[in-house]
Amino acid sequence: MLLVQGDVFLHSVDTIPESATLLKPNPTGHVLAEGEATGHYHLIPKRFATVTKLYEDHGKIYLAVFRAVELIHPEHATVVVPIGNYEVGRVREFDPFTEEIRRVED
Amino acid sequence: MSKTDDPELIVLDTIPIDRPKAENCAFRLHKRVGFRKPPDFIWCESPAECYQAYRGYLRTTAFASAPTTQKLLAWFFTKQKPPRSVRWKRHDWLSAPVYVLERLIRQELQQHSMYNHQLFLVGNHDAAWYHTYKDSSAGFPMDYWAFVKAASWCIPLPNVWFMSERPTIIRVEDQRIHSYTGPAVLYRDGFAVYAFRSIRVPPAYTDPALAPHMVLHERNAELRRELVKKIGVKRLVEGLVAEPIDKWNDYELLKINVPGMRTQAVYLKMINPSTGDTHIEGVNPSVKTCKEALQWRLGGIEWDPDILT
Repeated sequence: MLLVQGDVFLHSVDTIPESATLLKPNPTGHVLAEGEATGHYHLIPKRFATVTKLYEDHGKIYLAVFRAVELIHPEHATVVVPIGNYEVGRVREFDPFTEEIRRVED
Repeated sequence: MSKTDDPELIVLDTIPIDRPKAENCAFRLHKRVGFRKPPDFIWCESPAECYQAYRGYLRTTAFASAPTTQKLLAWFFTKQKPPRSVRWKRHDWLSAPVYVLERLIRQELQQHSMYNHQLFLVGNHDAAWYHTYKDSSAGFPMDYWAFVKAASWCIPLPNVWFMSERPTIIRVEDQRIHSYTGPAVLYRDGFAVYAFRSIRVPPAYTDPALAPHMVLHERNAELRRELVKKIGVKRLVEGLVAEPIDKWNDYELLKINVPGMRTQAVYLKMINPSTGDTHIEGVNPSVKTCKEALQWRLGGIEWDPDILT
């Protein structure tokens, strides 16, 4: 399953690596990505904190969802994330001036 | 809630301040911190001018006891605000003008090295927290609320308060601080914030004759989208001499030749399905189709989204 909300996407994975470490939610909930210029978040609100777990493993972020939750962002429609394990990805882009590949920043 | 208690009206107010009233409210707060003598009030046209006056004051005044007393003020005024956990609950505010205006002005001050976190502790920007705080058990201190309604940004010190006037212009469009053609926020002394949809931008971006290739130089995707909107897709594509390589649904792959660029530039033009806005992103020059470009953006994952917003 592939869920895309702007520059963030969730991609189904069978399992989350055992070596992954649990990340604590902040007071708002789980922030999957934060816009540097806009201050906007891709956020799973705190009310879903008990049914989601966020992990980090070797720079990759994983999300475990035990009950359908909402992923919200001010500039995009809400995505309902079904039960499952996901890898959280960031869309990338190519800068032809510097010839570098980088994550899309907002 | 009366009209005068509306946080948005308080934060976005552009009517000149009733100075005697604001000074009176400030003095009441000053007394609550424990100072008996009224401070001097120095009025400035903008937060930037307040900062300059504050710096001048530090240079010309024996200010030995200031760090302690300023810390006391900082402690007091921080105590008046809702706890961080309460503020964070209002995620929907993060893009609302009532909240964003404070962030934009702080960013502009930072840009000119006119900011540190101990300054501008109080002001009408605190009105943004009113709703959350009045519902909390502590309630919003009424002296503080009276000050928030009467004044604007200020730097309070034990003997002197530097008080800023309100801006003369605050442009809001579709619930965002926004202007494509000039300052979105302007004070009488010329201190200004330029912003597209609540994102601070360089003043050059508001130039009506902005060159289309400026879009390609902007690193931030949100701003790039706004520049595309400002310039217009048609003018942009014509101005960049873009040659379409492939088209698929709402996606278009464009080859663009920009002088000075070593590699051939390939951009994917797409539409945000949530807002309908067009934006462009650079993709690997080796891709030949829109589908290949979409897959490349995701690091090789096949583009077949179950949900796309």
